[in-house]
Amino acid sequence: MNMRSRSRTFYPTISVDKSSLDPPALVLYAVIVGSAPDKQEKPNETGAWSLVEPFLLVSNQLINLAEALSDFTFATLGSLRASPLEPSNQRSAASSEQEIATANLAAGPTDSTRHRPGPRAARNRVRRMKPLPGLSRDALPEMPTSRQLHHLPCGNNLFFLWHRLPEASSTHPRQLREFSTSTGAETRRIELPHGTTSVYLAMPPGASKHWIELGREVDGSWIADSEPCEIHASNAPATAGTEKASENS
Amino acid sequence: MRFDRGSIALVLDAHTPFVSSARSEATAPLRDFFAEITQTYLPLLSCLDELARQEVRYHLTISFSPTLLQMIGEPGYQVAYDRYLDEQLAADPPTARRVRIEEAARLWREVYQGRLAGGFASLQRSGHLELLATSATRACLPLLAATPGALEAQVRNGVIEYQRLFSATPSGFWLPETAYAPGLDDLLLAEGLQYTFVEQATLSAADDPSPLSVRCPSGLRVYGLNSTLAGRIADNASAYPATPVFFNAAGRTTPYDGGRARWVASEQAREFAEALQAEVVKHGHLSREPVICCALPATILGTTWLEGIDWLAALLRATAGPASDIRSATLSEPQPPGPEEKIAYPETGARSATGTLSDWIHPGNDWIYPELHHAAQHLARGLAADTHHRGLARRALMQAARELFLAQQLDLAAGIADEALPASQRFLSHLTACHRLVEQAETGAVDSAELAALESTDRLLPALRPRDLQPRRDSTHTGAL
Repeated sequence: MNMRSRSRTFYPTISVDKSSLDPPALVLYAVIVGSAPDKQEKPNETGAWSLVEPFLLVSNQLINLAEALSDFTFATLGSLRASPLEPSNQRSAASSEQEIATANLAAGPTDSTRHRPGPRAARNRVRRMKPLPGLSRDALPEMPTSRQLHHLPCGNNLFFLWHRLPEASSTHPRQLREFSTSTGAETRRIELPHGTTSVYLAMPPGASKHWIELGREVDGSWIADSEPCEIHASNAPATAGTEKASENS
Repeated sequence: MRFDRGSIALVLDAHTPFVSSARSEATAPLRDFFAEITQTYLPLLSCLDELARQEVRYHLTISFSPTLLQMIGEPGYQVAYDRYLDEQLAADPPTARRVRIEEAARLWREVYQGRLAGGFASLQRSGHLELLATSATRACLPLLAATPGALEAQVRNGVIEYQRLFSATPSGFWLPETAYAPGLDDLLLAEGLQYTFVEQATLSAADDPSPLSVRCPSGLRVYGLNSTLAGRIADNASAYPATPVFFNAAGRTTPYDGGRARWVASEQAREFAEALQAEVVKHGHLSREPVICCALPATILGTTWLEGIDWLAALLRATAGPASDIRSATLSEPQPPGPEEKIAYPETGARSATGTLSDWIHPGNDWIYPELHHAAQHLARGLAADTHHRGLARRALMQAARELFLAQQLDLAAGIADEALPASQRFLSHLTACHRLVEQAETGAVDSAELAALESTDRLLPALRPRDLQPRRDSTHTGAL
């Protein structure tokens, strides 16, 4: 942030490429540029123009705006570092770099009595708002919905599963059911949080292969949303694929 | 019978991530690559040539990634490297470094004239080297398993590049980061490959606590890499390169003495051979002479450890002597199954702290795998629709495939996991280009200017053909992983 004086009046200016700002950042930019602190026209007792006061004013406005923006669904960086075995959302858990940057700004207590950070803290917050250049994940085309489940081996009998099923209703949360291929018995059932599109799944010790299926329980009946998918232990290959020929590239 | 004689199959893994030729030579990744040419690849080739001239009977295995070979052989990069050498000499580096740069400039301009791949291929023809094939753009292969066609294309085009660059057929395959999952063996065999390597720990999980190799039910030989020996050189603060007489050692307090450093390196080679002998004795109960496999990143020799090439030369000389109980070996000779050879699949795993694939897939970067799958499916549909494979549409689809190959580099997955913005941007840039080109081919509205620009900056796999992207295998078997 460059502060420059013009006719005894401070006009804080920020060197940014406005075309690269996403909408929330553009709003912040407009607030900062529009907040020329006319009240700070007098020099302080040493005769120097105070840089701290207008900076504090601007930074407090930034913080207020961040609070106002708290209606946005921001995820903290911590949510992206969820431990394996916990469901991890894809796009719904803000994971693009812009979202992370904004989430950092928005994080923190929101009650009006909280401590206002000093200039250094405010500067750090502003730095994190620096717009990121180039592409975001939104540049990628939307994935089509499908009943297919996909999985990748991570080692140690841990698997990464994902799907692109249509959105489930919030009244009947989606569940993951696991069946033993040898007995057909259900061995595990996990309720997935709304919007979950991927999950890390650990195979039970000793199991060689299981079937996985996603669906919902409605009025006591199981409604399968996905085709079943066969998962094998880390040292056993499948005897038959679960991918269709059309899945091949 | 008990053996106290055996062999070492020393494998060097040579790789550099692809750097787009549009970027200036001043970028850090390209300068790193040029430093590796100067300090590792040129001195290594020269050293191996010299040993061959002196009729030292050595054997060494090297895997060169196609991205590295493409960049070394591309005229644009070669011109940039020439400039880099001049800049380095003008910068007046310390004497030891200056000697290395002057020698590299001589080798590059006068001896090999930029033809490094040819130099290594010549040593393979003379029986000193065994060059391994590897995947087209160093993808973490088990993590492409959801799209069997994409997985197959990575392996097949790695083999095709090998044939194009070395004018030979590979028998061994280097799995990037030794990432393996059961089912890959079928795929490698289908491409005519006979053996590969995994971390020995993934073999040890089977009934036998420490087998040196197994044969998969499909017939592929899988050798375990000895991490104890590799740890003497890499991944360890007390490893050989950290000895405080070496040029790059952090703890060096005295002025650098090149002669003394080389002497220490040769002593360490002797010590390494003794450690190797101990490993051989440990496995001496086997039905045939044990072969101990040990892999190192090639750039440790020279770039990380300036005296590493001297260490290698001393080790190869020591194991070539008639009195040595250990000899260097390669693994291309077909070996009949021994009575004690275990038939098994190695565990899913890779070279990482945990032995799993967690360095390349975890909640920080797992979003890229559904996107890679989606792009591969999009490309497959484009290829299926374009039955004539001609003109601009064909060029667009082939470039789309290159962009997808580049997005699959595990270096990007690791960079995204570290929240490195350039890696994330490069991934998105390659993948959006892939989608855009397929879309343009599908609609018949190829932007020829954009296509030409991408062909010029992301130049790799120049011989890529549509049929090299078509799945060959029955998908009911490729879903093995």
